[in-house]
Formats: sequence, structure tokens, C-alpha cells
Amino acid sequence: MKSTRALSRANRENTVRSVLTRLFRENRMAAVSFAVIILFILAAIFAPLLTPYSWEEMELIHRLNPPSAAHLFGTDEAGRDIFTRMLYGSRVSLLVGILPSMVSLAIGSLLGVTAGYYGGWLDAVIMRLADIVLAFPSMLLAMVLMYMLGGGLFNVFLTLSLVNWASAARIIRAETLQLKEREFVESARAIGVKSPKIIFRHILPNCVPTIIVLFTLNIPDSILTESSLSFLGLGVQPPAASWGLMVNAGRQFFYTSPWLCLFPGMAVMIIVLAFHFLGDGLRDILDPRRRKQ
Amino acid sequence: MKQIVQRLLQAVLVLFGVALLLFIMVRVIPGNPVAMMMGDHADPAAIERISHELGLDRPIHEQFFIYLRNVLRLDFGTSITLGRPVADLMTAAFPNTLKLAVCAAVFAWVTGIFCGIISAAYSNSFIDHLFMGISLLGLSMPVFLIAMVLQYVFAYHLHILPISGTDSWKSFILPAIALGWNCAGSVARLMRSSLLEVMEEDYIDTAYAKGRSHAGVLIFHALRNAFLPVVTMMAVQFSALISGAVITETVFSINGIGRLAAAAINGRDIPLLQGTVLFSTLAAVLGNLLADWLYLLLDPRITEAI
Amino acid sequence: MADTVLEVSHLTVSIPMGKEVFPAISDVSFSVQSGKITGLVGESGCGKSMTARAIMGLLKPNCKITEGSILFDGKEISHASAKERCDLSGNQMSMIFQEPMTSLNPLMKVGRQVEEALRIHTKISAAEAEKKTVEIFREIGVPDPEKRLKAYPHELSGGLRQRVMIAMAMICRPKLLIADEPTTALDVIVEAQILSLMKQLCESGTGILLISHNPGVIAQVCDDVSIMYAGTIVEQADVYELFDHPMHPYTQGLFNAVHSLSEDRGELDVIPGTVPDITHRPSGCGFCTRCTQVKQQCESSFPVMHEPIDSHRVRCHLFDGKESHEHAH
Repeated sequence: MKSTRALSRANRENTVRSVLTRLFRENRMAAVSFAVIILFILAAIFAPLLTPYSWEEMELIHRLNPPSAAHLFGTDEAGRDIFTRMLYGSRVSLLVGILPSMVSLAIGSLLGVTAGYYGGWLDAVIMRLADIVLAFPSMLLAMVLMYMLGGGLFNVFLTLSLVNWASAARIIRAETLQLKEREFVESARAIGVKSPKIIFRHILPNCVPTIIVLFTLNIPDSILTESSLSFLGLGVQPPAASWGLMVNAGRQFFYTSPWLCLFPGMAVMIIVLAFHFLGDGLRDILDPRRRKQ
Repeated sequence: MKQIVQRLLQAVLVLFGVALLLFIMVRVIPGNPVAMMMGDHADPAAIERISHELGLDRPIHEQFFIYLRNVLRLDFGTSITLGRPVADLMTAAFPNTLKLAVCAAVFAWVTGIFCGIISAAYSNSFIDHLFMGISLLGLSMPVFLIAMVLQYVFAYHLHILPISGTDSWKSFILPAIALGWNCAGSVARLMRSSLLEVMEEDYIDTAYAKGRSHAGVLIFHALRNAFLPVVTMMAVQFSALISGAVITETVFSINGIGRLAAAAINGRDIPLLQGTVLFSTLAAVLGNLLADWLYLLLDPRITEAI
Repeated sequence: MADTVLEVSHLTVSIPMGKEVFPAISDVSFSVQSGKITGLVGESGCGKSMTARAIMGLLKPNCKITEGSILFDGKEISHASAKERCDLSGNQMSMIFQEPMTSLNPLMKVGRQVEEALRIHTKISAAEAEKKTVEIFREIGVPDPEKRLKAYPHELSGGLRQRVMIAMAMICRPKLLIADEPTTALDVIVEAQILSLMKQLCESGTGILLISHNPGVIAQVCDDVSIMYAGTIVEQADVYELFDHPMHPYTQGLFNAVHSLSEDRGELDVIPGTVPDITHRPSGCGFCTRCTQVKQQCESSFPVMHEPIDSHRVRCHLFDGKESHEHAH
């Protein structure tokens, strides 16, 4: 048993520390992206300290002011400071990126591992369900779910969690099928270790690199979907601030006051890019199939 | 041949599942959807009458089979908000969406593949960095932002192209670019990396050893092999294009399926919502089949294996 | 005396590693005669394949020929242009690679791949090209050639694929064929078939450069042999002379490692140590760290080629001052 566990552990040689060191040493883009993400997270947490304005108080005398020293990114149609609203909006956008990705990865991993490990009808049911979910164009599925659940931040979380699990389940299932054939799983099975224990001790921990990569790459997708939903008016509801919602609200003033849309739109772009690079960098380090080069 | 039949059967099953799931999702909301649609002050008798007309008072499984039977007869019901048959509305909207999606796909794949090949052929040059930079913009910019910026620059500022609508072929240029840019970016990046990978293969050396020139090796040996992963990606992109069409059609005021779907949600119009989503999913599944079939044509190994 | 198709002299290829540039092969000289098989033996990483690639012009872009010359049919080709290369490759000189599994384009019918060289180098109709392909398939023993033409590589066995590779290389009747470990990936019976096929091919006048890590393979078919170690040729002679009187300590060790099984199964004779990494080659003789007869100058000075017996050259300090009389110049 001990050697089985040692084998299982030897198979996952990556510690958080070594991964981060390699990331910073080998992939400058990923390292920069990591720093940008940390910066955004800090800005979201300390938003009230970074701005003298309130995110919801309207000052109609200052409406639609272009960017200036007082209002870094200008003001919106209700005289609210755009920079401030973006700081608060980053809370929504980051949470919307991270939380649903966690949930959908959790669902996807559990279902994928179950399908791959047990096979049979359980596999068939789970994977057909995944096929069906994946057949929908994701935006339309999200729209239907938002219709079903109603708008609001929590329902956006729920919707994004339910949309993105299927592709994760597919990938984790494939990985499980491979791991099942590996010596440490076979030997654990040979000495009579129970299935749930094998799944949680040996298979899932070995899927962690894949899960981390999928998680990181899922975040930008979630952020983009949220901003699109909010843009259509189906996501986060006003007066709450979300980047997508800010673009939607600023649309009618776009030709005269483009800063209303441009800054929040660019914020989406930057954070999406950052997670993208980070995910790519992590994949290069963690994915054994890509590591050979 | 056998696999094509198999895939088709699979697709039919998936579509059945889609219809079922969709049906459950729109019916599961607590409360009578007709009452919700008509607001708080509606006449209860009227609510009941419309509910009966829509068949909402029958058992749920019966409702589903009636719905399915009607769908197979291309009867998607009548839109509650617009008062016209959903099938008619979609027939009017579909050509616009099709034009938009086809233009976007052609734009995305032609430019994506072209830029990817150039980038790979001159890897790490200025042009490579330029193309890859532009493709990154496509990957990370939300569709609505691309759409609005294009509208601002080319329609509002330069007056080169129409700002919205579907009046002439020119009206489709900006929406197609906005919708396709994202896909073009991922195709370009994948094409580049795939081609660079293929150029390291042993059979590329064999081709050089036969006396093929650089261009000859690229055209006759590398490209087709490098296309394989790109085709796989295209399958997924059909679906992404249809997703993006909702936004693009909204920004450019194009009367298409996506915009109908968005309108259906805002108006809580169940028949219209079911119809448009089902139809969009059908289109995505068909696109997927097409890409699968293309893959089969390109790769003789798969034809044998399955 | 047969014509010399290939004359490689003092060839040096450099490869940058990090910030420094290292010679991957240095001062390599040998020749290939038409109608004969010249063998090039050495462990993996000694520079055999690099030599072959340099001759074919298939070096990776970062590798550069820095010294020496490659004369093909009397013409200097070490710095040939891309156009000149295209005219030569596949037509007058061709190459067979080690891995028949990966050296064929998986998406193209093998018939098309074999014809390709013909279609590039001659103006020939499609029907004519196909006829020639069937002919060469028959000649090199591909069973049922008309049907095999239409097969994809994954539908053929390893041995058949290597035959296809040979057909591809031979279809334009080249003057020189370079075979880089053509049998390494194959099992023993197929190996014997392929080797006898090579022998048969060279009888029709083609000069063959056969590269292998296996002295057994070389002994079976080659006429002249060069032994390569750590990027340079350490010994060179005709096959009988070399196997009967190996002079270089490395050659002796190499042959002992192969022969020891038949004589005494008790203990394997192994050369101690490993091939030095390209970045850590000694400044003197490349073999000095593993040599049992190492002398002081071996570590500091790079040995020159000696010719103690006519046509038997060896690069070793043990033979300093022992030139055969005719060749002392």
C-alpha cells in the first residue's frame, strides 16, 4: 500500500512552488499575466481605498465628462465616475470568472471521473448528457438558463456553472481512462482498495494539473459570457456595476462619449488575455503531452 | 460511409435530447408563464384561455410529445409577443443569420488560415508578431466591443460602410468581421502552431530529400497534415459563431435568429424561445457534422479506425 | 577502379548551444564509390546522422558547415543553393530514413509518394509514372504492387514501408543512396531482407552510404567502413581488414562488445563510461576518458589521422610516427 501511494505521488511531481518558479523562469508572458491578475484582484478587494467617489451616487452636473485628472476614465450618463465603477465592477467580473469556473470544474471533474472509472451505463448517461449540453451554442444555453432563473448576480453564477461543466467532464473522463491503466491504480485495485478511495487518493490527485489548466482557461470564457449576457441585459442587473453592463449602458452614448464603453470593454480584454496567457503557460508546464518540446 | 450514418444517428439522438432538455428548462419555472408574461393586472379568464390554447393545462409529458410532433411538422407554435407563427418569423430571419454566419466563417477561416501559414513560414519575424498580436486582440475582445469599434470607425467616422441593417451586401461586411474576428484569431494561432509542428516531422525531411522545394514541401506535404487540428477546431467554431451572432445581430440591428432569441427572452415568449434555440442548436449540430465529414475526407486513418 | 560518387573531406559542422558554438562533427573525411557500399558506424549521438544530413543538405537551420568540402560527382555541394539541391535530391542522390513509421506522409497514398520524385525531376505522364512505380515495387519485392500503390502508409507493415521508402529513393536511379539506420526499427528477418536488397541495388551501380550503430549489419554488406566516435572518424579501412585487425581502442572495444556473447557468456565486455556530451568533449582525443590505453598527450592534443598500413587509417596517438612508407608525406 505504501509503495502504491508512493508511486501515485511520484507520478505527480509538480508542487505549487516548482510550477510557479518554472512559470516565471520559462514563460515571461505568463508571469506578467499572473502579475496583472494579482493586480486586478487587489484592486477589486481594496476598491473603496483607491477612489474618492461612490460607485452608485449620481452627480448629474458631471454627466458624460471626458477623462480628466479628476475623473481618470471620465463619467457616465448619470455623472458617476467610470474608474470607480470599473473598480467595483471588477469584483463582479472576477468573481464571475472564478467562482463558476470552480463549480463547473468540480461538477465536471466528479462526473468525468465517475464516468471514466465506472464505465457502463453510468458512463453512457453522463456522457450523453454532456453531448447534449455541448450541442447547444453556449450563449443560447446561457440565455435560456438566465430566462429560467431570472437575472441577478447569483443566477449568473449558477448559469455559468451549468454551462461549462460538460467539456471539463469529457476531458477528465479521457484522463481517467488513461490513469485507470496505470500501474499504481492497478496495484491499488489488486490489493483490494475500495473504488471511492482509489478515485480520491489516486485518480483525482493525478488529474489536478489538467484541472488547474482547465480552470484557468475557463475563467476568461466565463468572464466573456457574463459580459455578453450583461450586455444583452440578461445578466447582472443595474444599478450593480459589471463591465459588460457598463458597456451596455454606455452604448447609446458611444458615438459622442466613447469612453463609457471603451474602458470597461478594454478591462474585459485585458483580464481575458491575462488568464489566457496564464492558462497557456500552465499547460505548457503541466501537460506531459506538451512538455516534451 | 458507415461512420457517417453512425454520426447522423448520434446527431439525431442528441437533438432529441436537446429538445427535451430545452422543454424542461423553459417549463420548469414556477408559476404560469402566461401569467408572468401578461403582468399583474391581467384578466384571470384570459390567462386561462391562452394557457389552454397553448396546451399548458395538459400533463407535462403529453405537452412534450405534442410539441415534438409539431416540431417534426415544422410547426413551432405561435409567438406570444409578435402574434405570428414562429416558423414564419424564423423563415424571415434565417437568411440573414445564414448570410452573416457564412460571411463570418469565410472571413475567419480564410484570413485565419492565411495569417497562420504566413506566420509559420516566417516564424518570429515582424509579420509573425504582428499577425499573432492581432489574433490575440480577436481572442480577447468581447464580440460587442469589436462590433461597436468597427461601427464607430468605418460607419460613423469614415462613412465607408452602412452602420446597420441588411439592405445590401455591404451591410454584412462589418458584422461578419466583428463576428468572425474571434474565430479568425484562434484559427490563425492554431494553424501556425500546427504547421510549425508538422514541419518538424520526419516525412517533411523525406519530401525535401525527394527534391521538393520549400514551397513544394509546404503545399504538398505540410499543409494538409497541419489542417487536421484546424478542422477539428472549426467544428467547435460553428457553435461559437451562432453564439456570437446573438450579440452581433443585436449591435448591427440585423433581423436574425439570434436577435429573435434575445427578443423572446425579453418578452418571455416561450414558443419563440424554444423555436429559435432549437433551430440554432440544429444549425450548430449540422455544422459540426460538416466538419466531421471534412475530417473524414482529409484523414484516411480515421476512416479505417472507427 | 570504380568511380568516386561522393568525396567528403575535412567536413566540420557547428551547432550553437546556448551562447557558444560547438562542432558537432569535425574533420570527417571518407568517400563512396559507385557500385559499392560504404559503412559508417558509431554509437548514437556520434554525428552519423548529422553527416548524412549535411550531405543531403537537410541540416537544421542553426547548424552550419564551417569547414571542409563535399564533392558529389566531382561537384562541390557543401554550400549548394536551394535550387541546386532540389535538382540533386531525389534525382541523383537520395536518402532513406531510420523510421519507416514516421517518414512517410500519413495522408498520401504510397504510390503517389513514390512517383513524386519522378514527377518532380522528369516530365513524365501520370500513367507512365504509375507504370514505373509498379516496376520498381516489383523489383524490390513489394508483393501485389498494383494494389499496394493505392494503400496509405498506416495500412502497411514496417518492412513494407521501408521497401516503399527504398522504392521512393531509388525510382530516379540515383548515383548515391544514403541509408540512415534503415533497418534499426525492423525485426531481424526483415532486416536481412532489406540488407540483401541494398546489396542488390548497389550491384546496379548505385553507391551506397550505409549508416548504422550495429557493426554486425555493416559486416554483412559493406565494402569499406568508417568508424565514428564523438563527431569524428577514428578508423577507416576495407571491411575485412578492419574486422580482422581493428587498431583503434574504441573499435576494439566496439567489436568486443558485439562478439563477447558468442565466446564467453559469463561476462559482457562493455566499454566503460559513456559518450561525452557534445558540450563536454575533451580537447584532446574524444575517447580519452574511456580508453584503456590512454597516454598523456591523449588528453591535450587532438590526434591526427595515421595510415600505418595501406588504406587503413586510424586517428590515435598510439600510432604516432607509424606511417606506412608509401604514404609518408
